[in-house]
Amino acid sequence: MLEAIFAGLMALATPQAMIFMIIGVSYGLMIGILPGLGGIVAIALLLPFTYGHERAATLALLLGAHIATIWGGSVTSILFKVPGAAKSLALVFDGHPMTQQGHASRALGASATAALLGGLIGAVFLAFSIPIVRPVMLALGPSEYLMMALWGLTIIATFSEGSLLKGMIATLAGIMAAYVGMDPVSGTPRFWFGSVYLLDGISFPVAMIGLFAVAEMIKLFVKGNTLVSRVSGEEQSSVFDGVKDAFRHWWLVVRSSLLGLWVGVLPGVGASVGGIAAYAQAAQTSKTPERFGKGAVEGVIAPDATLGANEGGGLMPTLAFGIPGGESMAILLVAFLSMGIVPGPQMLTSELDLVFSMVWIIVIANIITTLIGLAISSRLARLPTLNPNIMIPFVLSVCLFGAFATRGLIEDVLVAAFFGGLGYLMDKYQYSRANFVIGMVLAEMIERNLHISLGLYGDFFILTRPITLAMLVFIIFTTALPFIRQQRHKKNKQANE
Amino acid sequence: MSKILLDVNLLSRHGKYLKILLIAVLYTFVFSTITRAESIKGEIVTIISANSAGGMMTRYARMIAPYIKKHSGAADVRIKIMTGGGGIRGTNFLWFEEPDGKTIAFTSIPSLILAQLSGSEAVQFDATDLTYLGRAATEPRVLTVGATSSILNINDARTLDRPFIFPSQGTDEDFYSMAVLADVLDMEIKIINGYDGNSDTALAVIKGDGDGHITGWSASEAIIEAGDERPILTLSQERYRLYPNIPTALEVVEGDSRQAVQAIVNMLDMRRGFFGPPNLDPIATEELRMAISAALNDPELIEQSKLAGLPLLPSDGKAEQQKIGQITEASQIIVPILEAALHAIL
Amino acid sequence: MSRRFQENIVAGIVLIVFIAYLLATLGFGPNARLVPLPIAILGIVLVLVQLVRQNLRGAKELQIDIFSSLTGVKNTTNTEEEPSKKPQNNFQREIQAMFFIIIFIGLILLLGPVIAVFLFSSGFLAITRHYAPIKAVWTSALFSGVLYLLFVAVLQLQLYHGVLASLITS
Repeated sequence: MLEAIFAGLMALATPQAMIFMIIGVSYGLMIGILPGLGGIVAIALLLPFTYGHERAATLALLLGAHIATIWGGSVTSILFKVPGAAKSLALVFDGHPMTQQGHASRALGASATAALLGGLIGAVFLAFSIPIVRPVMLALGPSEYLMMALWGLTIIATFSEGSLLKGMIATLAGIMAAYVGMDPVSGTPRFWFGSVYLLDGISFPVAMIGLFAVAEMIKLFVKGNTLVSRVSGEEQSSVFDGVKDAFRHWWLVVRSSLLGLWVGVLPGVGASVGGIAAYAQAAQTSKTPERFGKGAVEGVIAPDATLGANEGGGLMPTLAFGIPGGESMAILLVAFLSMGIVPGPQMLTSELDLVFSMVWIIVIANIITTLIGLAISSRLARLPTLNPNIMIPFVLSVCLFGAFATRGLIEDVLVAAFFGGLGYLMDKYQYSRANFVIGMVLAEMIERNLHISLGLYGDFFILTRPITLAMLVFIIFTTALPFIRQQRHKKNKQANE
Repeated sequence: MSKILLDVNLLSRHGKYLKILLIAVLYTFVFSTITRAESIKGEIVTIISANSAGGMMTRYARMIAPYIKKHSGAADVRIKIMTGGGGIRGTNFLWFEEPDGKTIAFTSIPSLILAQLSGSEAVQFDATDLTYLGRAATEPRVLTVGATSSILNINDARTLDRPFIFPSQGTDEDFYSMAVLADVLDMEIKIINGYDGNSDTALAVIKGDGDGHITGWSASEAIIEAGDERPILTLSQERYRLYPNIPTALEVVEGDSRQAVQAIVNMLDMRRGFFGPPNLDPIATEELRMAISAALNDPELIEQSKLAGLPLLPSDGKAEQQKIGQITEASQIIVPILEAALHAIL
Repeated sequence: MSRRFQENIVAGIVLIVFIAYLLATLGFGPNARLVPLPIAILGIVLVLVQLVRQNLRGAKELQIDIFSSLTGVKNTTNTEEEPSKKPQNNFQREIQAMFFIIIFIGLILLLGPVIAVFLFSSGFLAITRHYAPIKAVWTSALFSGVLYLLFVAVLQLQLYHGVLASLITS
């Protein structure tokens, strides 16, 4: 195996591979920063340029770009409350409040480091956990995915920007919005008003651009101040405070990374769900859950570590079984096949050096991304202090362009504007936007897996599936934990008084 | 005609200039109709790719377009992406376009036919009236079962003492194909819908949650090679060269049922195809069919398609049009089956 | 307009949306409505509870609800402060913001995104007097150029050219 590890690294030690890696990472960062676009777009656009080069170099280009989009997406979530892609959503919850409190550099530093550590753990996993992937994949099924989605939903209690009752209403509204279009189970067109555009549903990135980015620009215009005051933007903390944060919360990083790996491995669970689930576990296991949603650095570290590790997890079933762990992995599988890489068990024997090349690409791409990230973070952190008169037209333009670019449909621009107005009103009347999008992300997963579970295991599947039951107990426990802690804290306080 | 003359008389009262103008307009109209019938040479041809910008269909369209330009003599061949409703939006748009050969489309033909046959409210076109110009690619679809399953062949599946569980990702061509197969093979099936793509259905079959699923060979090949799945039936005209022992669906049915299966196989066989609006100008149709055929047999494109991992399997436009005829003939048998399948999952 | 009145209007609209949603789901088959139907019913119940609570409670307690009192999670935001901060001025700015967005969207539909970005940015920069008109124009031209290069040249986005272009060419 040592030989394969070394051979994998040596395959990347060519000028072409190195140049391709740097091009891929820079390109991925750019795509990631653009609202609405993520790793899938990055790989799909690069595919036509990948023929006729060294295999390792081509992989460096594709995987490098894909990995860099993750942190690119986090940047805009943290700085402007504009999620670069659906999976960067969870970064908005605490990343942006940190920016508002003048801790943008720290948030960016923590985010980059957590993604790096997550990526490294993911890479190590890819190399060494082959024997356990298969049993886990086979043990978990639709009823367990359903529990995972429900677990994600419990996070709505954490957001206290409005009342909890209103938060629940917002979540239900988000779920409702997700059901516009063709029903994934019966093919029934729902709430489509005779429009073929609505038949495909409301694009999640487009809705997110509207709810957060456009709404924030409206708010900025109404408020008339800068997004962050110049003074607080410069004085509060540095990038290296963020780096230290990530290492200080090492146990959270490890837990979140492991979660990310399994989310990557399982084809039915998307990375956007993974980000929210990571946030949920960070909030629910925290001793001070009340800080979440208001600028807790753990709320940045957990989702970024999960997203970083997700890639290694996704590669595993793609390479070993030819079953892509997610959408971007499905595109990558097409690239593999065109390069003559046929997934299957032989990947772990005769092609092991190629697998290790990929492990090394993940490691090196993560390191390059983080180095670039740390170098530019302090400059990026100054962007939110720009005058609103410049910020509003430019950010609005990029966002509406991004909304159009997600599917090339002009109607998406209208939808982004509509959600912008809706987002502004929701913020004003404190119907949590975060809860709305969480509802939107999890809605389809809940519906799909509920139907499959009922169909396969019957009406009482929760009781007949032991892992599902265990997960349900775990969900109830983790949801109740903050409240139990709160009560205990109260009692202690009373006792002390 | 008499109405036009009447109008001319009416107008003549207002002066001879109006008459001249009217004649000029009529002449231009007639002339333009005649010239429109001549050729697409020197014209700009737009191919509507009715699927997403980054998807396989658009990648195929982008790869082939320059070669259609090369072989058709068109001034340019451009791709216009019109995503929506699984090809319905782009095809609805094409349906109302002028049949002059300047606008054609490229998408998954089975999706269009099934959307129509299943009575989708969004469909504004009649797939049987479209003008088929040629197929770029297709691949056999295959019914596979889990490697650990007790089902070793299609007969085992037919004689199960319980329903055959079929995990499906929605009302796509595989869903409808299985519904027809089960009907003609007298199999009791339980379709579990809601899976998220081929990977998800494959995993369900490998795990044993489902008995079998239908996918394209390219998606299932790696899984079969890895020993996790076993093919038991192909939905293609002939046996697949890599698995010569696996029978085709046409081999296992007899009598009237064959017509239904043949229609499904024909439909699946049409997969990635070019087509134009109904009543497409005969000259433009001929030119486009020849250009598409020549493009798809161009050695340079064949080489490029191999490098890009987008395999070609061309078929002539006329042959594709004939298949549509057969599908229409069999539709009386298929439609009730499709309706029943759809009704069962609503 | 009092805060309570505004809240009631918002909750009323949300209630209407949930009821419309419920009625629409009744037309679907059992599988298609399995999840949306209970979601709509739960939504209606929650909005009704919200309406009752926000009208029975004092203005200061408007944002504290039954779940908060049960769980001990406190609200950090004080909604009563907001309307007292020059509400009239805020309302005007909100109308202006909506007006800007509508203009921008209108320009995009009419002229396509690139020209719309140029016109909107230069107009916005000039109207807010952030830049002198000439500087506003060239800054916006540069910005639109960068967006064009990024989305069209690099990302190969097929551009929308606007209703006006299609009217001219047809």
